[in-house]
Amino acid sequence: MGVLELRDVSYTYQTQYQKVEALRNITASFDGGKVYAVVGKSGSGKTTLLSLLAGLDLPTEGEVLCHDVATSQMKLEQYRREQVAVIYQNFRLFPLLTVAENVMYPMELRGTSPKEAREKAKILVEKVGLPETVLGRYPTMLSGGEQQRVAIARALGMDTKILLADEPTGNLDTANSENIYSILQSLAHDDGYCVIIVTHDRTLAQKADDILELKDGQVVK
Amino acid sequence: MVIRNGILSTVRARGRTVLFSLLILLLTLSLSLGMALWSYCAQTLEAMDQAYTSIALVEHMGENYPDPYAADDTARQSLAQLGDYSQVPGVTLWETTDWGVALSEGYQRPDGTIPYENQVVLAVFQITQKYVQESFTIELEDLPEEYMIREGPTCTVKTKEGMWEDIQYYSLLSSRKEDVRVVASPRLTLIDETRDITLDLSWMEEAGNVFDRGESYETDPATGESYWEEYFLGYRQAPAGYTGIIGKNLYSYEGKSGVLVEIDPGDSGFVPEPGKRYLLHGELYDSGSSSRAIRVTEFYEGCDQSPWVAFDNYDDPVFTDSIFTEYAQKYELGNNYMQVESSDYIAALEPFQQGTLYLTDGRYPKAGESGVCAITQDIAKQLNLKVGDTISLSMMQSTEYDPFALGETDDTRSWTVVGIVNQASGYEGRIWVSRGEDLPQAPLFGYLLGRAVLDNNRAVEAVDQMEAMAPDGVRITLYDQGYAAAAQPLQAMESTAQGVTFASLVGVLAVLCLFAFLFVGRQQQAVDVMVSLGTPRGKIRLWLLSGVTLVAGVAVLVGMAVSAASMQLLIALALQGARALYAADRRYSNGALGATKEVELPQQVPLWPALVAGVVVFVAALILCVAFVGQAQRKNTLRQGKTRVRVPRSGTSVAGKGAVRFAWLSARRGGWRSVVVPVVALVLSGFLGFLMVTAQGWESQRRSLYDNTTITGQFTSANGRQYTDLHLSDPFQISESGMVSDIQVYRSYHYWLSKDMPQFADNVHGQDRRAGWIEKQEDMVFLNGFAVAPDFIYSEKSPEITWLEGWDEGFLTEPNNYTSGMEGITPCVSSTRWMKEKGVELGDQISVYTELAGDIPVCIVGSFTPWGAADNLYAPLSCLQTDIADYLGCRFTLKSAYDLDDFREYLAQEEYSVPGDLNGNRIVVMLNDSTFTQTVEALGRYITLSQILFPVLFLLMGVMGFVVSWLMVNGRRMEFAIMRGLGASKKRVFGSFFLEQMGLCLMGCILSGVVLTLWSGQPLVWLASAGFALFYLAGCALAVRTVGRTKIFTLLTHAD
Repeated sequence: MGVLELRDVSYTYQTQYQKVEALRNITASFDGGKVYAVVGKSGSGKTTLLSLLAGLDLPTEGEVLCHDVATSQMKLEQYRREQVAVIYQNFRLFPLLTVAENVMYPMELRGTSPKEAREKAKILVEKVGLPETVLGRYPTMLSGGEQQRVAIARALGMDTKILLADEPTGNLDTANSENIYSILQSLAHDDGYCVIIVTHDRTLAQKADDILELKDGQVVK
Repeated sequence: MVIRNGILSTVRARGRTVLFSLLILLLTLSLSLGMALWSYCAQTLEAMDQAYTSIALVEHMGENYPDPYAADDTARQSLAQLGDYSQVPGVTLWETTDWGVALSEGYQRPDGTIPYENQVVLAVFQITQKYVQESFTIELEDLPEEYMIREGPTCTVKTKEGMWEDIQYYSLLSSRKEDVRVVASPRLTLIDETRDITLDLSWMEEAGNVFDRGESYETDPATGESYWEEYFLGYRQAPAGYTGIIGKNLYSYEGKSGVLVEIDPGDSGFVPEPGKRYLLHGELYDSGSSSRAIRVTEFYEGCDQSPWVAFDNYDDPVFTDSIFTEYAQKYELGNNYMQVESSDYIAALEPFQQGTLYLTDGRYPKAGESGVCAITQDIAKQLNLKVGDTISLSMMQSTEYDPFALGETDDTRSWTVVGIVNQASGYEGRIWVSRGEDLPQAPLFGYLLGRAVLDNNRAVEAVDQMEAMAPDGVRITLYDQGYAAAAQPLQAMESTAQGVTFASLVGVLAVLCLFAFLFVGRQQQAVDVMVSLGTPRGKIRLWLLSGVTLVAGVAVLVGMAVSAASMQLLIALALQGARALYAADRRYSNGALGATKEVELPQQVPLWPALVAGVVVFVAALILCVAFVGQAQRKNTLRQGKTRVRVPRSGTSVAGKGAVRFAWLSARRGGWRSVVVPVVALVLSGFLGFLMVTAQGWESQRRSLYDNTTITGQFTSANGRQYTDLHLSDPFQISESGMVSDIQVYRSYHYWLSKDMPQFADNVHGQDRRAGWIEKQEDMVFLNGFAVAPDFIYSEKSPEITWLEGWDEGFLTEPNNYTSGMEGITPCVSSTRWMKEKGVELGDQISVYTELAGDIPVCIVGSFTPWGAADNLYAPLSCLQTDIADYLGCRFTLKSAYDLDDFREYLAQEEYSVPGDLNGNRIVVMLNDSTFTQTVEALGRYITLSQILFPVLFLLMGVMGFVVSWLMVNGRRMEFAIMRGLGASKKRVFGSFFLEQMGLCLMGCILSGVVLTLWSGQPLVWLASAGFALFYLAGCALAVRTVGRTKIFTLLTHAD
């Protein structure tokens, strides 16, 4: 039994022109301390799978279980706030908040006082390899790699053990990609995080502890 | 291909395309109708302005007003004192009265229109004394020995023989003096038809021995006892002028000779020598079948030449060269005068402007045109003239005090007739020329000093200014042919149309901006694709513009078509509505005097506004779309140089908590976005507030006008020009309306000092002359307020009176409060001139005489400097100890201006005639409300317009606020998605964005509220701010909720 589990999950959605079966009867399990790579071609259902794992939506059929509790039985907001952290390809940082305030935001959602959150943010930013000077800057003043590190720091600030990353290196150069991956790997292997990376980068996927390959919404490997 | 794809990609966004097509269609329709209505109103008003002519008559309210030929020095003084009215704004032409007299061979004025109909210069012979019977009283003891007392049906006669005889005194006739008839002078014959005898009592008549016996009821002033006192009234023959035979007419209108003429010497002192013939100058005062009666009169006042002269035969030089022949010729000439009037705008002369006169053929002489004239039909007929013929005239010179006492000049004119004017009573023998003819200078006759032609739209304003400049005793009367009332609905409609056009333009701009932004500006994705495929910029532009051109084009075309099809009907409805809403009630108003002109309004509505509106909307759509094409393409151009990023001063903020913290930080750091919202809120809510304040200001002005305006009114002659010498049987009846106060009336009687009255013979002729003399005396005016006094009723100015200590105007209404110790004495106010002439001072007592009340002891308690020739005395109405059958003038005040409409209604219900209603009663009621009504109507028009436009503009501004807030929130979808992705609750997310927008919006609204409150002092502006904020926040809340309903997954996917 993994930290996160998919049981016969299907997901169908209706666009303006067609009905799309994004995922079909997927069953999978994810444990802590490991890095998982979800790979597949464009349209294979990778991002949909990640969204269901992130609690952004519920499967139309089947269940997503976190610590054996189905997300359908939880308040999704609370699930997203307390159980999973997501890192997006485009960083998804608040443009009008400073780096520190971005990192502090999820902590504050959980009731941490701003002062305490700021102290913790300092540590997390350092942990992802950024200098303290970036704390007072806006995300747009940082490079892509730095912004992604801020996103990782924010995810760490959520204090969960499940880290979902959607193409985390998609917008980065090779050096930055490797750095980011090593941080994620370290979090899994050293701190016991369950890290699930959605990527189409075969090289990156090869570095993962386990690979889940999707094709036409189904697990092929 | 590019165009096809552009069109397809546009129209396939079906909902958006339909929405904007409808919006553009509606706005095209509204703009087109607004412009059409505006254009229709402007054209119609222009046509009405051409058709209507407003004039202001400047008249001196002199003693003999409205006599058009009176020679009044005070009127001439007023003319000399007149300001230059041509400089008054709104006056397009100012002309003083300019007319002269002329003669043309062969022209004879019709009967009843000649000035010297009663003047005569006659040669009379066989002149003998004429006697008439007159009465006298005699005491009993003074009765002669021989007399006859007439007593009922019998009388006692003491005959010549000394016998007393009671005789039956007429069974046929009553016992009055008329029964004693002259059968053949000097015999007095008593006829007793019952006895069929004629008793010769001529001896009695000669001796004056016929008496009536009567009794009168007297009171002994000493004892207060009443008793009957017997008196006797005798009759005697008294000389009363002369009789003669007319031998020759040097001048008389009828020209008859050989008839009997009675001659009244009048005041001339004519006493003929027996058997002599005389040439007499005088006037005919009676004309029978076989006799005439003339009064000998002076040639003119102050002439020292005798109006009679004895002659031997007709060869006497007096028949060829004398003042008698001179006057005979003058009368002959004067009777056939033609009146030549000059003006550079003949059609605007009062009789033409009022429709009494009009052209039947040809045209009027133009301004400055010389050698041409227009004539009346009677001249044309008598002289057999038609348009194109020439009329020859000898210009004559009037004497200073008689316009028709013509002196010949060597000034002859020949004018080509260019117009023939209808014949109307009082306008016979008239000729009109332009000022270019330069008529000989003539003294002013009558009271019309001049006339101003006015700009129809500024007539009331101009008249107000002219009145302010007018000297005392001068009145300005406006005749606008009903323009103000007719133009009012169209002006109101024009204002509304302007508002609709303006609002439509704003709407067009707002909608087209959004249209261009959404259909072009936000097409970066498509542009990205095209750029990536190497599409040339021109083709990208074509792709982007082709769709919007089609959408806008079709919508505009349909809008134009609908507009063109419905315009006629909608404008007819609008006109009907405007007439119902704005039909100005000007009944009884001094602003609606005279004839009303009916001008048919054009029925056809121009179609060009539909075309122009369509072109404007379409071109604006294209221009804005082209502007947004640039924006769409710029997104795909690498920016040159570095973007300047501002590092937050405080670094990391720990201020606030939760949603408030995010809202605060976001608002503080939002850059242009945080500026746009307050500015938009400031401008739009400020605009609404400004409109509200302005409308409120108009409302306050109107209320203030109603509260502070005193509307007066008066009874006038039918044409609304004469306020005095009317005969009002019950002017107080209007008080039954309950809406008037301060009804002031006056009644006047001629007065004189007893010592000033000359002796008049105690016979018919004497009494006649006495009545004539009294008629010329000044008036003692009994009134209850000075405003109604003939001296002041035409002037808005109050008289400046110098009062005897302890006296004031209140004595007119409450004389008992002032007259303690003055029992039996009437307090009076007089002119300083009169006081000087009579040698009296303030406080002096003097006795004046009136026919009605006999001697009246008066005390002068106040004096004023007169502006006119009259020296009237003013006394309290309550001092008039007699029943008043009618009043000569009445002026009143409305209790409240709010009652104006109800009062008009009351007057109409009570069937009071309106000024200018020549079919109504001769006396009418006129309200002095033109300035008030016009101002109130203008304000009412603005207020109604604001009431119509404000909700539309409020909605428009609100929708703009709504759209702005919607766009502002939608631009933050990514942040929204991040928050939700991080597990922020919906409430918190809502709070974060809503509080931020609310803060920014309120900042602008509060600022506009504060500024407008400080500027206007009207707290009402906060309603505008609050209203706008509500719209904005509603848009914001709806946008947040709509975004909140979108799946986070979708948001995150499309957030970029």
